[in-house]
Amino acid sequence: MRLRRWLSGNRILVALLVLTAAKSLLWVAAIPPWRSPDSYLHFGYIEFLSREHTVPVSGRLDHYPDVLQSLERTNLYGVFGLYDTHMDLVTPQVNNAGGHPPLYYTLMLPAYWAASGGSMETQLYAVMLFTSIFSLLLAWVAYRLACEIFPGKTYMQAGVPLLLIFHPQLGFISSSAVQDSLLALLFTWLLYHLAVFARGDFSYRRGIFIGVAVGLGMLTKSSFLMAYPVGAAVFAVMLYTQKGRRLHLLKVMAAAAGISLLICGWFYVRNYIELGAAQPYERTERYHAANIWTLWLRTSFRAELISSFLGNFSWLSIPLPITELYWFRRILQVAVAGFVAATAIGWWKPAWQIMKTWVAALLAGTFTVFLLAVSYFEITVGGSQGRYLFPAVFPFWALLLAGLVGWMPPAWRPRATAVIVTVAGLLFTWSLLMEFLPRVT
Amino acid sequence: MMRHYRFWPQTISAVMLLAVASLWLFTASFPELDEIQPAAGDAAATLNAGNEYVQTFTAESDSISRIELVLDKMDPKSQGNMRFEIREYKGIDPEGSPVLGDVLREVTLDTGSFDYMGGHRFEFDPLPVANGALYAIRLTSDNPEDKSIWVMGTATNDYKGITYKGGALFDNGEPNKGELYFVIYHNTGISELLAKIVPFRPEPLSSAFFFEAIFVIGAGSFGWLLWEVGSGGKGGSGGKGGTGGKAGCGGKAGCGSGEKED
Repeated sequence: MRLRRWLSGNRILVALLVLTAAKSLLWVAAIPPWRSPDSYLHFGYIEFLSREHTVPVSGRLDHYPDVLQSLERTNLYGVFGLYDTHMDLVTPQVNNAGGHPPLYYTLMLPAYWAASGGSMETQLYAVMLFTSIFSLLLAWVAYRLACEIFPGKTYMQAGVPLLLIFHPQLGFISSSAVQDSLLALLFTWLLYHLAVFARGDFSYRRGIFIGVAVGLGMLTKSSFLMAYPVGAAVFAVMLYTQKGRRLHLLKVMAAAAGISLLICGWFYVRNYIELGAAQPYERTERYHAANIWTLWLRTSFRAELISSFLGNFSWLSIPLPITELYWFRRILQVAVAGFVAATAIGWWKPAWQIMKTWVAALLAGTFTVFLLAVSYFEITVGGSQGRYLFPAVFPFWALLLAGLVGWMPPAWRPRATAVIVTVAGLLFTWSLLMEFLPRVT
Repeated sequence: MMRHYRFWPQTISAVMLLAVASLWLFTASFPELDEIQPAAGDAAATLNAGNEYVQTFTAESDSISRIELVLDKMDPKSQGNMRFEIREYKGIDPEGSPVLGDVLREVTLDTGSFDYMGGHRFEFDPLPVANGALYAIRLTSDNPEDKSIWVMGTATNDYKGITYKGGALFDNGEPNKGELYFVIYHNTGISELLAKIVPFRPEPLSSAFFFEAIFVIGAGSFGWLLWEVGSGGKGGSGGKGGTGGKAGCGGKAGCGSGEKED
């Protein structure tokens, strides 16, 4: 009776979780061994943790021969079309994943151990399946966040998680042995707590949750650093608006920052002591742009960021044809114009407002911070890809959906959202069955 | 207040979408890759009104339905037409140039339709071919030389054994050291497509039935959600948060706020 009541009360969430599980299983089955970004590097990290019981130092982690043997056995380079697929098992080769923080890899150890009786490929698929749990949690958190910031708007509450579920590149990456889905989950969880905080829950408990989310995120990937400016901006607005509670807010903020540093600080301090840098990078040059404006306006960076955000990472992922990418670009342009129109209409007619001003500021601000961060990373280090925007994947799809339906009369919005998520579902199906699977060899 | 949740509309929507997805899955025609000649390095063929490229290739199945090339433009704003043909290949003449036969399929691409590098599909009615026989791709364009089309090619050296063994590239009839980047597909059914996902995956991931079943379950759950979204969650909640007919958030934060449903 209790379960039935819970299921009845959470039926959208349950359906979202079933759909997410189905999506994740389809991707795991579809992806051939090692056929996602650097998955053999990430798997090597897990193997190192299992064997050495310590966290590797950047530049001092080598590939294990058995992983390279599996690449040869599964013909990874043959898939690229190379005729010479022989792997050098003798010369030590540095595993570049060694510089990442250890959280994702540590969480994958149970899956790695559980499949230790099988082949290396079976262990890889166990890790991929286990990684998919983060997709389920992401759908859950995204739904809760959408409920929090779009009260009374079922089409947004279900629509935004649906767009996340149907995001082709996110689905592909989230079912691979890569830490990006954990990163997206933790950032969305952080946004949820920031939203609850912004709505007036200034408790220490909320501050602790924020600190834990940031700390775990920083222990997953250093690009989570953007959580600090986003969090600081929310705290700053609260300090400005809550004049009588400033001291309390400062204490909560200090607690959040302290807890986050307590969780992740040791890793970056250790890097600094061992390597002289909190997070060492190897510079690569692609666009030869001197500043962000040149990068955005004079190079193909913008177009490639959009395409690699939606689907293209390389020939091995979902290389969507250029015509579809142009359509996506047009949809983005319509969404931006629609969002401006929706904001204006919302001021003029409050009953039509798609989202509160603070929600728009939080989502747009977060996405802008990540756009700037990815651009800055390209200028200073290089090698940015659309998936580096995945922590801000909820703000992206929420803003896009709001831009597409927010200017319409409220009565039209549910049906318009149904059309949009149907198009997204078709894009997902087409990407998986017509684009990705045909290339599986 | 507890409200009864209306079960049937969502269920009918779920069953209908499940049925449509199943019908599509088992009757649709899917592309399947036969051959890829990958890109390596930055070698590219420059195509304009003054030249033609011919890439010969070996058919790896009994039909061809799509060939993919990667294209870019010297001038992103330039307009023009690029002509893609699949031709019979008759051999090499005494001067070393390829001798081509009938045009088997042809596609014209408006080169004003793109402004940055990307994959382009040349799709056509399935062309029956003899498995193992040689055919030729012929590319021409009406773009002037200063507004050439770049066709992604492979390295002119034998990087990691990348040189294509099944054909050769000719520039205005002259042998070229490299090859074009190209991907060749034929059309097939879902069973043949899923047969490729077997190797190295543990059960049940390697089972085609598992894949198909999960797909239709996913379609059903989406159909169910689609009704909820399209109807604005008017199914009634029954949740403890007093959502008053809003879709079931179970009384958690935000859902039971009492704000009016749009």
